[in-house]
Amino acid sequence: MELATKQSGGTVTVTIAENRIDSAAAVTFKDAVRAAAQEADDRVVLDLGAVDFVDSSGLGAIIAVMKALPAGMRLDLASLRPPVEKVFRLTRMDSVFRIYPDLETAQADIAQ
Amino acid sequence: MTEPFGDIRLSCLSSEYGVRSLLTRLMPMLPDWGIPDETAMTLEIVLAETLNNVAEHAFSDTDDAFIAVHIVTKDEAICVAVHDQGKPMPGLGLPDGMLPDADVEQSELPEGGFGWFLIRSQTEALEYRRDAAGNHLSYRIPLSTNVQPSGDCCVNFPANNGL
Repeated sequence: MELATKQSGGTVTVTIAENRIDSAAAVTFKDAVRAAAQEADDRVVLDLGAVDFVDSSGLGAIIAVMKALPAGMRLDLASLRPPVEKVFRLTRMDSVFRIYPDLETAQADIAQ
Repeated sequence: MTEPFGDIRLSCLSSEYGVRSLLTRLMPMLPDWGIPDETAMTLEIVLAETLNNVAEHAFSDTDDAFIAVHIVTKDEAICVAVHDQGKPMPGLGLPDGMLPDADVEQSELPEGGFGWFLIRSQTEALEYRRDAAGNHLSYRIPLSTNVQPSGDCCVNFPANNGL
């Protein structure tokens, strides 16, 4: 799973550089993001701007990453493309995550 | 406006990568068929769930079997038929597909169980049949735009959607 991480304050931003988080990618996605998240103090922002498709296995992997975070640490999502946003909306997981339209908005929310 | 039209048969190997390969071959064709983006997104997610189920459960012991898919537009819907020669559905029926409860503590959130909910909530005429040839699953995904058939159009669409 290709990804890039950026640390700023207590936040780690993880940008996924692959276009599918599907059944074939779910396990490596989960392992890679969990490893990257260990550098965070209070928040992980998952940048999904390059991701065109998430299936139920990919959705489960994103939820698993959030559940594995230490208590008090958040996993927020940014830059969902329409097919990905649709899966979150249909499964009502859009009510579980904070979802930002882009990284700038996600980062601006840190300052508040 | 012309009615969306397409008719294709595809197959893939019974692995996660086989399923991905089929979807990435299919999706670029749909705009040329006149399929609206919203319907194409629905088709991709529902087809991913149905094919991954076959790869994971009907062919739990092999990645080298074939899954056959027939997709045809008909009566303002995309009709999908999936055929495989793997193991039958348990109880010869389809799972309920209830949406897992999201209104729970973070540590209790569901990590699975979304697949059949997505299939059931986004399809019509969902049918499963088991016979000597194997498993047959079929469903319709309505086109999300209201397509008006043009009055002088005389194209005959294929009547048979069977595999």
